[in-house]
Amino acid sequence: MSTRIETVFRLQRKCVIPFITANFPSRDKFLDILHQLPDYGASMIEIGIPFSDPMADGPVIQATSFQAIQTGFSIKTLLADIQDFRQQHPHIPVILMTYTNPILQYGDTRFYREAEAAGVDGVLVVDRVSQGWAVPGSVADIRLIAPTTHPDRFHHIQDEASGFLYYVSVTGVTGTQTPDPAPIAAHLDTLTPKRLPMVIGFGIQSVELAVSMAALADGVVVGSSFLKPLLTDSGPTSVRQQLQYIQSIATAIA
Amino acid sequence: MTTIHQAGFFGDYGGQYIPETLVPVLSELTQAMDAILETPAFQRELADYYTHYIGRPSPLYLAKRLTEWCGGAQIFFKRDELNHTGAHKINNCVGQLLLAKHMQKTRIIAETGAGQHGVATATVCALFGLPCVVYMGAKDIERQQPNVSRMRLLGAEIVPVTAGQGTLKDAMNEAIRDWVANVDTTYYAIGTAAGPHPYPTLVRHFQSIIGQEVKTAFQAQFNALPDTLVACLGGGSNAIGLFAPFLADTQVNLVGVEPDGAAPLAYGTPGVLHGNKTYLLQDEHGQIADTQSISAGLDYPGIGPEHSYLKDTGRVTYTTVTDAEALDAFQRCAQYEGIIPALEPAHALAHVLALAPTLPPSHRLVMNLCGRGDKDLAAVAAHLGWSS
Repeated sequence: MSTRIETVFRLQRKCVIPFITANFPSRDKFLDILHQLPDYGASMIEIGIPFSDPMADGPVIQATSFQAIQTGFSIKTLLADIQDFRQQHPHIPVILMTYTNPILQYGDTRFYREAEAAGVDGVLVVDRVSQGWAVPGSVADIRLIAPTTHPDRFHHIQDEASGFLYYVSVTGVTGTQTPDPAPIAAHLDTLTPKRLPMVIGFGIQSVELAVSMAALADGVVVGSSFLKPLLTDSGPTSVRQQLQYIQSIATAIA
Repeated sequence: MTTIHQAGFFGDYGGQYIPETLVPVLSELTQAMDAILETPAFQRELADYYTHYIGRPSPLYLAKRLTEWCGGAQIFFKRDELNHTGAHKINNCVGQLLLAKHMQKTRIIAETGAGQHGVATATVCALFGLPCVVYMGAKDIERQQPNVSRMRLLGAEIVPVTAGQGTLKDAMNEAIRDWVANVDTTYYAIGTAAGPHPYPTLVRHFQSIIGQEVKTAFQAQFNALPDTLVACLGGGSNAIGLFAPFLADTQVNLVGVEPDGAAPLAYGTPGVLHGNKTYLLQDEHGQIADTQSISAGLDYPGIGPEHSYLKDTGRVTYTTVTDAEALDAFQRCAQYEGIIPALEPAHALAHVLALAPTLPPSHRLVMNLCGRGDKDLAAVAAHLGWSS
């Protein structure tokens, strides 16, 4: 288990986890944003490995993934970039989120071995239900919990997972619907006992919503609303605004 | 690598590679299948629609002039283009939507490529009084206009999909996204024998009527099995429907025909797309490749997982046909048999026309004529340079 993840959940009351698609809007700009995020209050960073057919993602992540693939994205380069980042930022956890196929084509054993060596703390595979690969001990096997997840299945997932759980706040794809706190709270009440920290994501589009969602869990993931403005303007002013958006969430939920 | 047939796996292929949100609904569907499909009441209801609504059994027809022209094997057509709505797709739609009714789902969604599955779904939704939303690639909407009009007339909402290339793969992505968002009320009627478990098994179950009827007709007419079966492959539902009842009859040659521009079994490698592991056209990074086929119904970079398994075991031989060969067979079928096939089975026919001359006249070859070609006339006329 990654000690970096454990430490963050121990030290921070509520975590803010920005999500950015690797190599979006370009490799240089991605690296620029990645390296600045720790200064803007990010508790961890979730990096999306782009896939051509992201069936659980809404229009924003689809578009960022498409742009990233056009840049000639490769996992090998990303892991090298994470290794550089890790040397400069030894403490902040880095989580990779993707679909089964990019990992399968890279070779799952090779992927996890190299990710671990690069300083990746956890991996979340969106469509991993029947995937039988072994995740090495020091890389957290982060799992999704959906609004449709039955308590029995929750316990089964929690037994297999490590690091933390990621609660999908809406029955839907990323960044399209506004989550409603009341039914989430009611569902979360049925999912006990919790052995792992839990963060909430999908559709968190404002500081206010981040605050009400963070009240239900140990942290929030902010993806589509962080990246959407960068689809049309990825100039320095726009990037700074989006980094400040992360900072205002971090401040508001702390 | 597992070689054991777990539920939902064909060797290492198939499975359920899906977002967590869909786990309960797929369990619900699997349980409904187990509880309902084999009950006499469900089978009676299905048989009644097959007979009186679809018009089954479809004829087994000896194509005499094409047989003569080839000068070899006897060529039989399984006339599934004579089904109501003009293709084999309706076999599966009636079955799945009966199941959806039993599951008390109130909204139906589907993806479509050539529009045949969309039309069949819209038709059965009209029959059962259910709202229907069909996802269709923007490119396919353009090249299959007659089917778009049919779906509208039948009361379906058609959602154009502009993502990616605007073809079947992209339509399926959007349908899955809709399903994830509306999983409580909505039944996703997948049109081909692909997608997560239990769909490949469910679609095979309903399409197997094709092969069963061929077997019965051969028994009655010849007291024998056919020698060779040929079918085209997009996702592979008509092919698995024809082949499934003959898989254990190892003396029967089974041949699947892919379009050369979208042939994962010929040119692809195993990977995961749309909830199942199967052969895919993809690059070294696991990004799914663009495809290019004249046939919208075959323009798909993946294939039903059972076909991947049958390729690896060698039970089925898979081959490819070019757009030009399919267009040639399309015209020859019209001119020699008075039957305008869809572009999809025209691929199967192109292979049959090459294969039959190499076989003796005692050899009986059955091709699944899985759809009629009215929908393709504008596209074919454009390719042939006919001005309207």
